[in-house]
Amino acid sequence: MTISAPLLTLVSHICVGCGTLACIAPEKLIDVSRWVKCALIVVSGMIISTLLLLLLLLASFPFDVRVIYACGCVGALLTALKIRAFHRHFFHGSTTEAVIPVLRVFVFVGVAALFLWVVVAALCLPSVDYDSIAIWGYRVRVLIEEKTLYTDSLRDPFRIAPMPKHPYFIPVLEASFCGNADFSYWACHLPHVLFYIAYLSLCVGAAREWFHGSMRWLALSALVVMPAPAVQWWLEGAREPAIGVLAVWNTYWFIRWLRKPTLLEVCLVAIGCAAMYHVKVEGAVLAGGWALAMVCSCISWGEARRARIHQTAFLLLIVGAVAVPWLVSKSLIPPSTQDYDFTEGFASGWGRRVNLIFPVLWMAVSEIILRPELYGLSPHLALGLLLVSFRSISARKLFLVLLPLGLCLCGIVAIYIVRQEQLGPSRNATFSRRFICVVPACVLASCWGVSQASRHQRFHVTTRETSL
Amino acid sequence: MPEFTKVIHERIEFSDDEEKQFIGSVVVGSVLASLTCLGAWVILRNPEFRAWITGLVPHRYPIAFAAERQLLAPRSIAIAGAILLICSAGVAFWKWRRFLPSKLNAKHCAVGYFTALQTGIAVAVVLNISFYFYRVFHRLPCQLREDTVLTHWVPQAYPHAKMFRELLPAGTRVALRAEGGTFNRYLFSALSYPIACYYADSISITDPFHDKQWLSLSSSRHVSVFVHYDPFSTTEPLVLKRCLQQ
Repeated sequence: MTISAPLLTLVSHICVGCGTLACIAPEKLIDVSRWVKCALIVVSGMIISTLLLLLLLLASFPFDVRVIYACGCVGALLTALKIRAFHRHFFHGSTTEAVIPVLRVFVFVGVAALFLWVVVAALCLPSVDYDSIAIWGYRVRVLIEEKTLYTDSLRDPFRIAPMPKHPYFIPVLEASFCGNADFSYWACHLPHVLFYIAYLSLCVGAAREWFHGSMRWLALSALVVMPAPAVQWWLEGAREPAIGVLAVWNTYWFIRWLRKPTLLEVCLVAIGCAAMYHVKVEGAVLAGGWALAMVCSCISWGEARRARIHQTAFLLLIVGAVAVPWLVSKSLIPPSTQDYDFTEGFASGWGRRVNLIFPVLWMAVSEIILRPELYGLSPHLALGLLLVSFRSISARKLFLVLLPLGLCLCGIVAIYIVRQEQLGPSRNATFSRRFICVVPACVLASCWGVSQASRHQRFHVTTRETSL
Repeated sequence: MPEFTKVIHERIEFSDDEEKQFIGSVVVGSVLASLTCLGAWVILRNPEFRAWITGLVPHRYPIAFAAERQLLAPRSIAIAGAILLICSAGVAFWKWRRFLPSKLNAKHCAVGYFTALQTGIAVAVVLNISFYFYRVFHRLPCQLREDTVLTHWVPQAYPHAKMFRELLPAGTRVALRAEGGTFNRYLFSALSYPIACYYADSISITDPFHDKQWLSLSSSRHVSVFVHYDPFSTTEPLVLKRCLQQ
């Protein structure tokens, strides 16, 4: 495989992201770090063009990577037309801060080690977990070979094709990086490297905005030196880490929306929700969670309620517009002899499962506390920070920020309680794979809670120093 | 409520004394973190204690696949780190604080400790993964061939599917009966693509072409080959039977 096809797709996605950023007035993102803007370029670029290609595929158009290239051209054109706005995004209001280098060195060493591992794993190692080979890799191969979703290879009930009703965002994204060339693992891994870079950028940006001094480095070490986002996509596949990054993305923009309800934040949350919905069921639960959190904020909030209601309706509209075509397409897939009913067993039998609740809850707690090779000490810190700042955070805001994550966490625990009966303990090995969807976003939310708690005090210090 | 811009644009300047104090505190924190790792390594070399700690994570059951991946887990180091984190927080915040040098700042010590330990875990994870590949394949990850890695992780289905793809032309429709559960069936058929595999689990192995399911598949899906796949057979993992009557 030549390097040109993946690089061309990469450049196209970046151009779409640049075009998106150029279309946003710089004043709207004046208080947003440049790191977050870099993440915005990467994430929005990949999501917008991939969702467009996916919708075309669902509408029976053939898979054609030139759609991505065309999106890239449009993005580049928009950037060129609005080059001044784009320039102002990055070269406006430059701030520097006196930094003592000791902590920076620590964080840099950890990030460099993990990033190096990500690059080596992406370029040198194939995907080896069962789902990556049997479900997702197979779909990418079919897309590249047959160029359509409406093929017997994916929809014939007699054909051996697992999980025909799983959505297609990740296969389309990965196939777009293979371009018109053959399937290759390193091309399929490239978007996940980009997701990881976006995760790093988002965390660095959020920490820069919310903290200063030693607290910033504490937050950064909790978020960016957490091994899970770097190693989990290689260990157990790439879907859940992608959802995890999108959850961090949505948490960040949702926090901004809670503070100041504007349409821009809603659009960014909406594209995150739409992409998550099209990745996997955990993503669908999270997307539903954010929609619910926005609805709850409309009900509970006094100030700017009207704007919040309009924006929530807008979010539901965007997510619905992207979700409905897949629901229609999915309903046309004939039932297979090997269909796995995901909701089976949830409706009844909870009385006899009482004795399973404690073991699964302990499994969840031990996952957070005793898996340092995945999360480091981040969950310890997050819990500690929440405990320390509990009395100072707005309970309503914290509830809304944690609502989608809590909903997904409850869903994961519920799945495992039901599955203990149906499939036995052999399924428990996949527990940590699902946790990655929520843990980084939970740590980010905890960091935000602490920044909220200490903001009042900091403001007074700043004011006093200024007046002096 | 302060404006957000004011918060992010504030600047901190340290005086020389403050800077020295800060660096001193962070260094103390990081030394504590190093001692934590060293102490944990020494204590947790005891296999019984190590097994007890691992047993606290109930979903890490001891099957070969999970045991392989436990090599990636410097869990022992971090559990001890967490315990010492609590101890050092106690030292920093409670009455024992008077035993520390007066110039140290407890908060900065804790930050230094956490950051150093977190980084230590991240670096240890990366080193462990690389060392794992070297131990298993005697090569670094960047020197490995894709085939080698896949054959190690999918020791039956990958080489069998490769052989299968060489036996039949692309696009051939086969009725596949796979033994050993759905895991092997799906892995094998996915790795065999572009050969099209159809469910044929109830077809008789001895006389497949007079089976009701075969007749149905051959008439509706134009299947021409029957494959019996037994991944654990050491003599004949793949048995192909071609129907000549079509």
